[in-house]
Amino acid sequence: MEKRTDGSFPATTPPGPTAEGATRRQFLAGASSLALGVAFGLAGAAAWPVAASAQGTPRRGGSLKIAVPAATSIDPVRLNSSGGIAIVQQVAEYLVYAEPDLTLRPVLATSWEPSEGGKVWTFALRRGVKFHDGRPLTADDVVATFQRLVDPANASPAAGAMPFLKKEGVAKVDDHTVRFTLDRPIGTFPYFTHTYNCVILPADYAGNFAEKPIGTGPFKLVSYRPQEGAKFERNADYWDQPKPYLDRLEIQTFESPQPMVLALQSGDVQVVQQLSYIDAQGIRNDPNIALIQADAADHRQLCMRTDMKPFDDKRVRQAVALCFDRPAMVRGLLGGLADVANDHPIAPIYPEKIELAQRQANIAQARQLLADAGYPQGFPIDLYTHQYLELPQYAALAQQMLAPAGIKVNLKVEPTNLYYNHWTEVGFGLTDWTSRPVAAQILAQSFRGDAEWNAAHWKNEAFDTLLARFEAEPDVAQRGKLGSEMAAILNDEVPAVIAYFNKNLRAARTGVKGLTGSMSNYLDMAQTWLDA
Amino acid sequence: MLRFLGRRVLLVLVTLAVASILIFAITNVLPGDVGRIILGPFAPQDAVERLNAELGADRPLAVRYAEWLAGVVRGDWGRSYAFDTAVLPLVAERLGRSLLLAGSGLAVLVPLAVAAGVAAARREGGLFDRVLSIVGLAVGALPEFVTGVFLILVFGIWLGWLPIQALPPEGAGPLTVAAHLVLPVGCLVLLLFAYLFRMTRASMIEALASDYTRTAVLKGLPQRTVIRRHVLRNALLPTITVIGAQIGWLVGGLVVVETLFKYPGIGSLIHFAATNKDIPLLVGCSLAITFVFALGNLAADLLYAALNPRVRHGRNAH
Repeated sequence: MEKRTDGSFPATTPPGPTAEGATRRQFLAGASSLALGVAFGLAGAAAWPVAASAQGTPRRGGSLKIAVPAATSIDPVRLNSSGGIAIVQQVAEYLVYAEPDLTLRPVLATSWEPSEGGKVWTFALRRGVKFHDGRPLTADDVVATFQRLVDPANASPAAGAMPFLKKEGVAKVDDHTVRFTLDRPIGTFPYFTHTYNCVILPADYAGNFAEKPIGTGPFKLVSYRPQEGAKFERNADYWDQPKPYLDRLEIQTFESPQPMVLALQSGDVQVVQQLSYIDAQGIRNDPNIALIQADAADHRQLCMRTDMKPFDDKRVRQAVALCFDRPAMVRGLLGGLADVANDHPIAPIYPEKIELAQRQANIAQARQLLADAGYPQGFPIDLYTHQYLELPQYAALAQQMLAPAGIKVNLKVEPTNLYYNHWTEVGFGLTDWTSRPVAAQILAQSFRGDAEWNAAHWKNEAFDTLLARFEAEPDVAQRGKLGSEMAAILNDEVPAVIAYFNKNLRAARTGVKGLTGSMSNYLDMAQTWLDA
Repeated sequence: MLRFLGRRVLLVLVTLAVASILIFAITNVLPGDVGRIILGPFAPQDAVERLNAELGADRPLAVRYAEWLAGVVRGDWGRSYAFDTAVLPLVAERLGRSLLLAGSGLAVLVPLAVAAGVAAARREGGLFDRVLSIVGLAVGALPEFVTGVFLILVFGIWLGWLPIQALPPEGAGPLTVAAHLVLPVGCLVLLLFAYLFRMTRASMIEALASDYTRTAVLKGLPQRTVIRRHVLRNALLPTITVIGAQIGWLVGGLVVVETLFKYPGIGSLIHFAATNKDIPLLVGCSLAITFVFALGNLAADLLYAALNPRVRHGRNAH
């Protein structure tokens, strides 16, 4: 069990057979259990039946049960588990909401304006919005919410997502206007207010969300029970009438993915908020169930410590990158539900279009680079990763793909909480990264020279300069140019192999309408309705 | 008998005290950093350290133990780090649920397995004996994950006869509660049947071949009386001990069954606490399970003593 925004699924099942370049037995070497394969049968990687989203005129009424991964704290300030995020998102709302196509929908803010080149952002708040206890939403609440999140006195993951915002930088202009003054210009700042912790709470919020849940959201929290779930009822005073359409909502938390899928099949729940392609195998042909797919920027970083042998030599890192047959990995590990990537994290979903030749597998060239670097016979290396999603299988596949170049990989697949204790210290580590609505977030957190999560310990001044300009630049076309330059540097230097961008899956029984996918696996139930 | 009981109860208390010290010491070396686990891998390091200080997770072990013990004496088992809720009511609720599941399982399993074991032993090597031995062993060797999914698919989804989630809706009557427990109990029975069946069968065969049985038969007692009074009484003794020793596991170790049937009991709670280094919760769960273990053993010993006078008089006599 772990706390990631993209789920908490221990990888317990082998993926389907087989991709070119890897036999089924090789896959099984990295898989820990056959059980689901026995129960559901293993399906190959072929086309996916994927549902279109909303159709028809919404109807009022009804109740819906949703399965989500495990939840821990539901205090919005500390919140970090998938299940906890899904629960809080029904009760409380953001200033803006990033749609699946990354356009920004006004929620509690109606408009936002940059000034001073993107260093100052002024948000106009929606009028007539009430908290669940009837008090009106004002600028004081928004100011208090963001000050609480970035205040070093409150431990919150959000502080790490917005390092450029200090407590003093949040100020009220008038009752319905809030001004953010950043340490440096950020051209896409509104997206950052959509970080999962940033739901707007009353100014006098004092913790204890489970006991005193309050927000402006479409649903009111009726009860929350650890490891069981939460029950909600419709907020009749919701500002965006006639939404929400459902009268009642129940979110059930599950400790592992298989029972979720079984509950969906039996009709005990009508929606599974997120599931991996492996878990979706059993329901892909069920006529009563629709799969909803969303493009995302989720990816895996195979990081190499650039300050330690043997990866201190760029040629060695390039050789590693040349060993990966990426299309085969996408088919074999993810059933095709991913886009091939090119060793940089700027996914195709982002508006910045990256111009860069795609790296292809080339073992001969890899061997030559290793010989040039002084490793004609290759070398042994420990690869660290954790029991999560397809990571163990990826690691096993990496072992197979690196072998022809003479790189003998010794797998260290650890429990998640153990891996996260030292993931930025290991010499060779495979880490999962979840989507962020802005490419700069991932670039800054993982590749900036002084970033806390720069697991490759990679420093490049030209890159850092470009990144600062990229962060500040409000124009998409300009950001595309800067992004291409940064991508070229990452592709050449290879602090991390980034082989693919995962897509997100969600499942619903037919009759559930108006449910969309999400790059962040966020759950917006205000627009969902039931077709009886 | 009273003195025997008194000594055993005292022993349970000593066990609990020792267990609490051991649990504290062992949980302290669990890998991971609780602040990091709660806030996630991408939270800044200073936020993690602040949270650890706030939770008191950075203080010496002995201090935390002393504080915890003082709290337990007052009936306050502390607060869960991850759920931010009081440990005692949570543990008590989960323990009750697990006891219900384990109790229902035993209520079905014990008569079934013992009766089958007795019947098989009386016709050792017969068709019934051979079929049950082989099928029981084969099914028992499957992990509960596989048998559970099979039961869910057949009875929950294809036939649609039974609910697949074990937790009944709030305010459900006893009949609804029972219906929800059928599948997980079935899973438990399939898992443990072979073990108990073979145990009973082996003891029965041994008892049937013993001198006292031969004597009883030779002195002309009816077969039914021989079996009930002489054979069963002796044959069941080891089985009782085994069941007693299994109760703790049945209450705290059913993580897979609880997860599969979405039945949040103490097994999944302790699993969560351990993987998330939620020490107050982990200690609370461990202590509750140790208590059940000790009570299970105590009950088995008392039953054993009741059936076997040598035990209860032995120590006093010498």
